[in-house]
Amino acid sequence: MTEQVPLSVGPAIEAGDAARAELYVLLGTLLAGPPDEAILDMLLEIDAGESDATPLTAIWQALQTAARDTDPEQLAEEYFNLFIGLGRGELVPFASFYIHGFLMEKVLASLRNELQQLGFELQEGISEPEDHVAALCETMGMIISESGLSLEEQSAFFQTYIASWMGQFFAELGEAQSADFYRAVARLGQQFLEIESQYLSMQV
Amino acid sequence: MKKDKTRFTADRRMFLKGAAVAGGAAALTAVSAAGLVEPAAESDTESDSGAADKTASKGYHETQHIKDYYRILRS
Repeated sequence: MTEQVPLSVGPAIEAGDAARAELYVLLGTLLAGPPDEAILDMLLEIDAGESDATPLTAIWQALQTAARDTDPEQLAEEYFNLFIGLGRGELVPFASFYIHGFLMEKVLASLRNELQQLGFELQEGISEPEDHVAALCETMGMIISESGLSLEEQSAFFQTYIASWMGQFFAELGEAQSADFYRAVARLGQQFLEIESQYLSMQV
Repeated sequence: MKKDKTRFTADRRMFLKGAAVAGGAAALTAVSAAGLVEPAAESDTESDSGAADKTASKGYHETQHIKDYYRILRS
């Protein structure tokens, strides 16, 4: 299916919130699987802005350089080495692993409960648990754009399921031996989480 | 801004049902976040129009929060 998604989020969401939601989903997309040509092209089309516009500007530019210097075949190999591997990848991109040291632990049970209450469901054919980094990025994006949860509630979800481990994950991704394109993704993720953390902490 | 040209197709691998819609304008995010295109006038007017919108919609309008967000982005 190659249906195009319209350029809109929820009808009642302000542009800044739409931007937050979309950036979470973009991170989710980059972490759910190796980007294909269409996603690389999309990254290259981004107007990264003036060089000193925001802390994110240089990071976007680095991501574009990384996208220009790679291709889907290289990315498939990089993604495999980082997250899948023979036996396991260099990183284990699950909240449960970072928080408890093992997969499928308590945080996953609690997350499943939250997702059920929110009415969010995994796509058919997805075999990874819901605490995969990509799933959590998508979830946060959907919480912002679709759920109508208040900022206080968003903050609670963020603190429990994202801030508690994802910063460390991005730090390790940025240092991973197999990472090249994904170093740039890691920098984007780290910086964005810092911004989110500051923003959400101001609202509670 | 190149927002009109950019589309995010729905054939990506996504984990959650509905996530493609939430990320439909991912390129816009990038533009907003990187270039800090602040949608000030339009959003302010909309938000000031009252609490009725807030309760009637499943989203929310909290302009001050968004101003905070842009301030953090600039810092």
